[in-house]
Amino acid sequence: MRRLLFAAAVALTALGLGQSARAETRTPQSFRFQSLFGTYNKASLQVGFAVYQADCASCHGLSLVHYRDLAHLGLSPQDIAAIVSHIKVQKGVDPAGKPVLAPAMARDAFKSPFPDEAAAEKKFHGAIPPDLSLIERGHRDGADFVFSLLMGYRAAPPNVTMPPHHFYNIAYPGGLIAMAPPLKPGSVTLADGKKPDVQAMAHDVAEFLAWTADPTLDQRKAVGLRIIIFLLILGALGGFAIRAGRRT
Amino acid sequence: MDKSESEAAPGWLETRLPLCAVWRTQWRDHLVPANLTLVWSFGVLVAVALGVLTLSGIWLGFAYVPTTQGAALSIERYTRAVNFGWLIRDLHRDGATMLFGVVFIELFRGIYYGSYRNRRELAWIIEVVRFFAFLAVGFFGFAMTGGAVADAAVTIMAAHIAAIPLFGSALAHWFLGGFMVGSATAPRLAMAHETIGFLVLLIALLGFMASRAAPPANPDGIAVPDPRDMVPQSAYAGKLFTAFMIFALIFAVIVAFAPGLGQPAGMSLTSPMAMPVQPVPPWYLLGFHGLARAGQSAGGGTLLTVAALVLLGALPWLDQGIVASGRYRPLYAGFVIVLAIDWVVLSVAAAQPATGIWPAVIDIATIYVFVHFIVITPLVTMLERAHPVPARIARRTA
Repeated sequence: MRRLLFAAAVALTALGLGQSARAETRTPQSFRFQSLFGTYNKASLQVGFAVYQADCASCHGLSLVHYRDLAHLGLSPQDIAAIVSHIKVQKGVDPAGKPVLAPAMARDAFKSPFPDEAAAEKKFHGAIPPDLSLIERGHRDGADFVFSLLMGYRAAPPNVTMPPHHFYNIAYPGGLIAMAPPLKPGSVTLADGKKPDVQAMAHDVAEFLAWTADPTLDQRKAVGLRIIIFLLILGALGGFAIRAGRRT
Repeated sequence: MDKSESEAAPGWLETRLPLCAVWRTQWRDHLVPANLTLVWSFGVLVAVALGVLTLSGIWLGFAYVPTTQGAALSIERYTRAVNFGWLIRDLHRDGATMLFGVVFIELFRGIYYGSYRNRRELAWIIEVVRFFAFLAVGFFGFAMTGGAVADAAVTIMAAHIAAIPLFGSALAHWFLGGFMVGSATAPRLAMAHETIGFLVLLIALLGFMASRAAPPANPDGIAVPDPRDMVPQSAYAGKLFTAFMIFALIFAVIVAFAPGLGQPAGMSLTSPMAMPVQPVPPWYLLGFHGLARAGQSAGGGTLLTVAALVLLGALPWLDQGIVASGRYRPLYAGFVIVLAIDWVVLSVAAAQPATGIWPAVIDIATIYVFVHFIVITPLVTMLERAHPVPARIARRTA
């Protein structure tokens, strides 16, 4: 039986190692949260959120994220209140049937950039900008994908015919993407007055979107580690107890 | 509990509902062979995993919205907005991984040690039926998470069901609640997942009764162990504790550091732009996905999958030798190891796109599964010269 389990494990490992890698042009980045015990870098998340607000939010929604969730990035309730006070969302309709706009509350979900998909389709020549909440979960190594995509814009090779309203991107499957290069240098100003370059912006927004796709990663690793330590201590105590019981 | 105390004067409750008697006869004083190894604890681990899955499933059920849009969204919101909602979801999702890990090893234990011998045929068949029910619950659980991958899987499954002769197309129609995946499908998937999920508890109880009725299986394959080689089951408390701790540690590591291990990312809400080209089921269904792919058509896939499960259940009749345990049957044990490797290869190949060598790998691995049961098992039983089986248990473990 032991041989059986061992053989199956060896086969599984060998096949896992031999799996073919799919061809996409990626620029692998190192993110702290990708390591085993790594957590999100809160400074990076805050910059990433600012980049999202400046360069992404006009086209892409974050429907699964609420303004209150920004507390996880290290923002204080006052910071969040200041952010939402500038955002007008629809709160019901008046007796005449017209939408009533009011400042957002911390409990509201992120405001969608479009009233509906039809409006988005009309504005963007038929391409609907996807919601970004889970964009990184839909791709293998999502943060690397987003970073590579943002840095992947190139001039189209001569043999490629570009359809209207499309751009050439080496990280996008097929190479043709309807999104214009989104990151603009200087659109974000850090607390110390510096303006990060596009590569730093891409890195931080990739980390921010990793957080929107998996916001409980930090808590999961922390709680999981404590449970594992508890189980190890319980196992050791139980083992001693059983041995002591056998001797008596 | 002190023996004299509990048996001397049964109380008011005990005389009306003999729970302590069940505890005594089925655990404390129940005699089992003295050579059981760690893998014999896996029945208890199945019960533990089922308990975790049932409880976490009930809590997820509070939040789950069985509609086309709500299926993925409701659980996604639950993991974000409810305190420790992510933990309950991962206990359920990774609990399925733990259950199937235990069940696969338990099945191979049965094949390796010939645990279907000696009046245990029915216990074995119930175990195979239980395995099939687990697979069904696993499939419905995967399918009810919504999203494009799950919908594609449901459509493929409907084609397999429709290929059943006579009533297949009616059954597929009933399964989908229409002619294709639509608003009627999600509630059906959810109800099937929950109903079969609770039915499994009953099947497991029947399997427990059937296995208790026959002489106990053991790693030496001794049909009726000598009474001097029997110990009360409670003597294995330490081994059970060890098995449970290993189980819990692996479970905790997966939940904390690799949640959703071996399960497709499409199991929850993702951008429709990000859908993989080919729907891949969770790892525990991959072997059967491979069999279905080797079938070349919906009907062929159904046939091969059902045939493999029927052959597994027919093992007591395919393998009619005198020696039961792989310990004394080196040739047979070798072939069981090859079968385990073959199943792993089949599972990995089934997750690959249908290009290059992978379709050939699937075909060869599928053929080997059937060759093992139909040709190798009866032939080896006839030809093999097994080592002598000791009359008494040689190596005690408790």
